[in-house]
Amino acid sequence: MTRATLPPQRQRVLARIERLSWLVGIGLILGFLYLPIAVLVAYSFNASRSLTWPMSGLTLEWYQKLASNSQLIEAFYNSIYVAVSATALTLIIGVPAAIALDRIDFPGKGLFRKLILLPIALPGIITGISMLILFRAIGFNLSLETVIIGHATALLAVVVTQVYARLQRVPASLSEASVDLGASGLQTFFLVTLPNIRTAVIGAGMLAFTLSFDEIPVTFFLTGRDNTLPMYIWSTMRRGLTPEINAIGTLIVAMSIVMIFVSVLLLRDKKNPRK
Amino acid sequence: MSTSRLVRLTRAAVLSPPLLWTFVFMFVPYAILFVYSFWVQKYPTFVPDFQFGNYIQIATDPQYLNVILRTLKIAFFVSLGAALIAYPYAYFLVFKVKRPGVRMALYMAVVAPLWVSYLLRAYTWKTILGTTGILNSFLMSAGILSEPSSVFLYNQTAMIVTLIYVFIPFMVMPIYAVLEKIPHNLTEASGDLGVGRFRTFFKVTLPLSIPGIVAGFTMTFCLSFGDFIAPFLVGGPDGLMVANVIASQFGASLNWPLGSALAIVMLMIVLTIITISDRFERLGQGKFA
Amino acid sequence: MTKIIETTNLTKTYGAVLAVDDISLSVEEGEFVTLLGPSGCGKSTLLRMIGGFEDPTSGQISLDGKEVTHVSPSKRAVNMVFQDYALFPHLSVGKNVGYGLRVAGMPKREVAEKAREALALVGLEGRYDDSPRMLSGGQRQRVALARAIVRRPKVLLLDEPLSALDANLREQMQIELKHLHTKVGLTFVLVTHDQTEALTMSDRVVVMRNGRIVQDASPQELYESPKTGYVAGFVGSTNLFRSSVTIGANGPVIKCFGQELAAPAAAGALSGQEVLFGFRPEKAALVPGGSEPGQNALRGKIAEIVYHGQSARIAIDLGSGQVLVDLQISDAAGSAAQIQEGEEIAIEVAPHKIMILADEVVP
Repeated sequence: MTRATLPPQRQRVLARIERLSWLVGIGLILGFLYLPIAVLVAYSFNASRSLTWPMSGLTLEWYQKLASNSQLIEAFYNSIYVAVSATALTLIIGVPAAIALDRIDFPGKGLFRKLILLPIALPGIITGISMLILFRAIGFNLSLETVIIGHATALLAVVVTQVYARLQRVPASLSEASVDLGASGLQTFFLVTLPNIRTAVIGAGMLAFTLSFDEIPVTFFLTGRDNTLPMYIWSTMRRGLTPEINAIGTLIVAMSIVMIFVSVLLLRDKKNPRK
Repeated sequence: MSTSRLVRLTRAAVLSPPLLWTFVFMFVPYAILFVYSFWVQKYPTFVPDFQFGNYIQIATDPQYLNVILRTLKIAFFVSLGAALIAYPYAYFLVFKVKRPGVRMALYMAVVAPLWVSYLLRAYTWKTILGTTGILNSFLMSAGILSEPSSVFLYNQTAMIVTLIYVFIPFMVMPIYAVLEKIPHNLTEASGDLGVGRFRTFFKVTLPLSIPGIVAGFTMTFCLSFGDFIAPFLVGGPDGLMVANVIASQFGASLNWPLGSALAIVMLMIVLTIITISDRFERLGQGKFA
Repeated sequence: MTKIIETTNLTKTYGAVLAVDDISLSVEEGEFVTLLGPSGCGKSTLLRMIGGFEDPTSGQISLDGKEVTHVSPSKRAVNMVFQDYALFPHLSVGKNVGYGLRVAGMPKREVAEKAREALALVGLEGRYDDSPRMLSGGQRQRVALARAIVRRPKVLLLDEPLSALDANLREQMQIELKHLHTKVGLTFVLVTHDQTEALTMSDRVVVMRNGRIVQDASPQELYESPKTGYVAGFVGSTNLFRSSVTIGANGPVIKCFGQELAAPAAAGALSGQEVLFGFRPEKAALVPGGSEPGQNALRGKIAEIVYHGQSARIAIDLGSGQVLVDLQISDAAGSAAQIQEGEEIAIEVAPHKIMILADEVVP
């Protein structure tokens, strides 16, 4: 017996119940997802140090403490430096890699592809450790630069998958037509290929930036004297719970929201109106 | 310039940087890691050798074996839990939401938390579940508990909850992608042929969505398997996972060879899982085609 | 007249696959040449080698006297119209057409002028600022044409340009392409698998199979005097049959599915041999009922009549085989209007209308 065989009145009631259960379920899931974030934001304004419910009052004390925390601010700028550099590097290496995978046949292509895409499912700790071993073996000291190289390597997978997927939708005949009409390979890349993968490159770049900014496992093993923001937060956590962490967290949430908006705006203009 | 020369030069220019980079920063490190796993610790450093001692230690010493098994178990439950929550969400989005604007918004709503720091999202569970935390004080003020309970935090359950929380978006994305691709007329045709909605789901929708489930499950499993942050924050003494053990080998214990061997073991496990899931995915696709 | 394209022993292999097998072809300036054949016969590969998109494995290509075998497409005086038109989606129609000129360094104003001229030539002046997405298939193809022509190349290569269009549009475009060719005066080399296109538009048709040229002739010659059974069957329809040649009282005689027919005079030289023969369905004539059939008659039962408006195709069962005959529909005697399925029928084929065909040489 299916629902369709019930009298219409019953059907409508069942449909309503079903709809309601779905909505409750979705609400619960979203609540589960956003509760911790809400707690984080709320308690960054909590007057007391404890995390008990209910809150004891509102204060900006923790934010003020942050502003005067020079280590934190330095770590923040370090993170920006690392994220920008790593993103640039991973795009410069990743875009040609995606083009090579799409258009060129060469010996060892299969191995190359597997290696590049490995870090997507591979725990960051393995990438971190293996690169630590490399740097130590060649006598390279750990620093922000080693972190940058580590990030760029781990993030290649992100760029390659995005750009490759987009490239698949760009017919090879476009490049052939460009060359046929007199353009050189370089001109073709800048005048034809790049404009057609622009959204994927931008999207991948933004994603890479965000992931680099928040990166921990690889950074953990490759950090020298200078800390990135996550490393600084990590070290503060080891010393115990402090409300300042909530404040930092809230600021990062705010920054993430801004980034999401920026990326949506940037990508919206170039989008195919049909989609 | 001739076609072949132009083509060859272009190819070289495009290929060299990525190939070089991959070789130096991925292939070589893994190779050295592999080599180190056969070396021997000689406090305070380590020396070249060729012995399987590290691997034997891992296989026989219950300390290491237990950690590996525990980590596998936790990774499995995390993936299962995330899948059980993510699938209905994705299903709802694809099949029950009519307006594309609402669907987009709900999709972004589940993906947005990924943009917020992972460390902080794991950390908040520490604050929520602790004895001075929100859950306890809420339960006390509601009269359910008379004093704070330490049962919520610093155990494997806390880790599993935390990791499920972190990985739900990772699960939703591939399942959503695969459900979206199912042509609408398939489910319509099934209904048209008189098949009830439950059976349509089990016979049509679910089988077709397997590639997405497998992809999400694999990624979640492998990433949980290698996580060391959640155990550190909410795991407690019996919540140690493989990654923590490896990290300590490269830290205080200064036993790089053993750490390398453990890392290789982890690498092998992850590669095996990826290979198995690849086969699964191809099976699923074969049925569809 | 100068040979604008000349290939000498051109060969292309992909691993174990021989795509183009030792082809020596020449094209005169101003000709409209079509490469005709089924998929996989190597026609597109040959075209792409002429354009510079594939590297020949061996052999040479010359354009207007200059050797260009390994020269990049950007340096050859040929332009290609691709099968999927390859219009740049991120540029407007006008910018698409002017792309080649811009890349060559021509100043913007001049480029725009020339682009508008080229668009006017194909009837799309008003679409200069539109995005290619807004155009129909036929319009896009015209933009691709304009873009290729605007650089005034010596040769225009067209890779199955009409295959993506629907039937009505295709007929129209065939005529337009022919007009364009006359107007602009360039050499056209077109690749297609559609024999109607080849016959309608070309000065010369090169029929290809398995990487080789089977016949290279004008459309008329191809149709009336195909060299092989393959060509006879590919270009138009042909009734093919094998027979040994014997010499009879009035000349050479052959058997078509067991029935005797007078053979063409040239068959006399092939006495005693097994030869492939053929005749086209429209070359047969109905023997009006009642009169005594002449020597060149084939008698059989009508198996099927397929109505085609102006004519009808009649399948006649001769016992050991079937032949197809096209008859006009009219009120006169000998017309298709007068017969019915199942009837006995006699048709005659004049000996000079029977073609002597060679078998394929399979390498």
